[in-house]
Amino acid sequence: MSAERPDQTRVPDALLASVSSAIARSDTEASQASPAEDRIAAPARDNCGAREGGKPQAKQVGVLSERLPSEAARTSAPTPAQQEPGPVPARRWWLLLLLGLTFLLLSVVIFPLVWLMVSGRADLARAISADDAYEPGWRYRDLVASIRLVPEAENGWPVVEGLARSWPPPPNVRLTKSSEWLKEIYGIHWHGGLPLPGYLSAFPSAIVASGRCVWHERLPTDVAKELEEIMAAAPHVWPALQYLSHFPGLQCPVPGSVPEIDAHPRLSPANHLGIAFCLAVLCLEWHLQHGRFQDAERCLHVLCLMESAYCDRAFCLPWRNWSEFWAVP
Amino acid sequence: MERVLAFTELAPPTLHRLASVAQQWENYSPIVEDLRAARALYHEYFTAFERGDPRYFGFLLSSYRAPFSIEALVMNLLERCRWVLLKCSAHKVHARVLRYYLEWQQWAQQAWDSTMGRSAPGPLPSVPVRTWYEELWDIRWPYMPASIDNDLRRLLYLRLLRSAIAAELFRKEHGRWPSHLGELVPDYLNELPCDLYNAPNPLLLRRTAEGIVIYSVGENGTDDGGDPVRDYTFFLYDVEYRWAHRR
Repeated sequence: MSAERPDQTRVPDALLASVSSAIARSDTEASQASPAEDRIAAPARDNCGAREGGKPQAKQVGVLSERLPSEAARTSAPTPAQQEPGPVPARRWWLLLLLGLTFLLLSVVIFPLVWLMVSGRADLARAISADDAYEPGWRYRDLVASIRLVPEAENGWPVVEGLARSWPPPPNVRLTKSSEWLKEIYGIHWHGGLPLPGYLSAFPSAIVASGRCVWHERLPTDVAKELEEIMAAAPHVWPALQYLSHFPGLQCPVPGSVPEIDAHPRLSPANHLGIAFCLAVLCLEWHLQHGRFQDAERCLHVLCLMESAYCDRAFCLPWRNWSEFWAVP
Repeated sequence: MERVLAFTELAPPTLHRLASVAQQWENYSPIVEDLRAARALYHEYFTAFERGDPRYFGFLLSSYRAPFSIEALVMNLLERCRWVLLKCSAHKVHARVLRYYLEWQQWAQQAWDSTMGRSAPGPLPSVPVRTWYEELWDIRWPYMPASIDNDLRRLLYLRLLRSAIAAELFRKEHGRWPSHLGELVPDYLNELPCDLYNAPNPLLLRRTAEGIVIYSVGENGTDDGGDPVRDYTFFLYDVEYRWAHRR
């Protein structure tokens, strides 16, 4: 056991090398020190030598003690060169800066976001409970479930769809000021974004603009001529409306799932109904103009059917014009 | 409708059907239905987003596609930051949308009920100021007062229409026009239709040279004798003045 001990306590060569280099550096620094410092250090070296019997001890303790710094170097007071700030305090300064920045980031970005999430959850729970308290069946599935479905055989919707699709591809004319006549005269709720057929938008605007529309008078000759041209271009409209008047109900398709937000100007059911309504109004005017009052009355029945469809929840629920709801106040 | 009645005489079944459609519209507030539907749909959309399905708000999540460059890198980074902000603020915006639409639905319902004489209209809800996270979501608050005004004007027109149909039915049965709307209650009208611009007074009826006019005093609140410009009017003509009988 005693023979193995020195081997166990042997210091690794790398450590020894670093220590010896440190000794060399300290010796060099000591030699470069000022004479005054040398004077202070010399008695200490002498005292050490006297304590150790006046002889240098390092060479007698083997390899390890040879590489250790001298006693004088180890016990002497630190020189001003040793007291200078090294790289370690500098690293601490950067660390503090890093911590500060991290804290700043947390307080400016992360904490508000966390607050937003936490308070948002609480807000949402409150809002949903308020909705439930005001109206228990307000969720989409409840609203869909509350729709009274019109049997397929009694539903005239395919006719409306066919009428709307039968138009030639309309020019890209949106609802404009010139189409306001629809609202002014007939209270038609035009669902915006639909390209209105050009001739439809042009026709009765002339009546409104010129103020020539007298309720109990026939249309002025030029407007009547325009109406004739429109109806001649669409001979299928009146038979389709006649067919539609036989249906007891009119309901647009009830969506199976939640419809996506859609503000594109395409043929939605609202616009289908809008086109069919316009055509029925024109047909009504056409019959009145020709004194066919029985047919005009039938047109009124069709218009009643369409008005009822506007009141249906199946219509109002998913097919509204969302651009109205996204308007900036 | 006014034009049709000015042209010809309609058969009583048609008049009854028109009256029932008008009544159906009177009992139905489109703005309340719209607000309810919008609330329900927004709830579905936000719930789907919070579940991790961004389908309904896909338009918010435009990703920057470009060949590798510093600009593309920065844009992608900004997009990711935006995505994190959207995720964090989803509940908050969801709650705000639900609350806002509920407030307006309640107000619209009260306004609608007040036209029926069931309650007084409540205070107008304030339009919320958009917060920074709502800017991110592109949430826009609808301008409700104008929509509600439009609805009320239409409601007024429906009342005029129903009163006119009742007057026409009265004329068909009695051979003369009613002297005032009170004569139509209860045989042709359940109650006197209230003038929205002159509540709680009813709509007015006046004899003209060619028939009668039923009218509301209009927004100026003064009785202008059924002037078609200043008042809201519905003209009915004596049979001999209708075009169908003048040929």
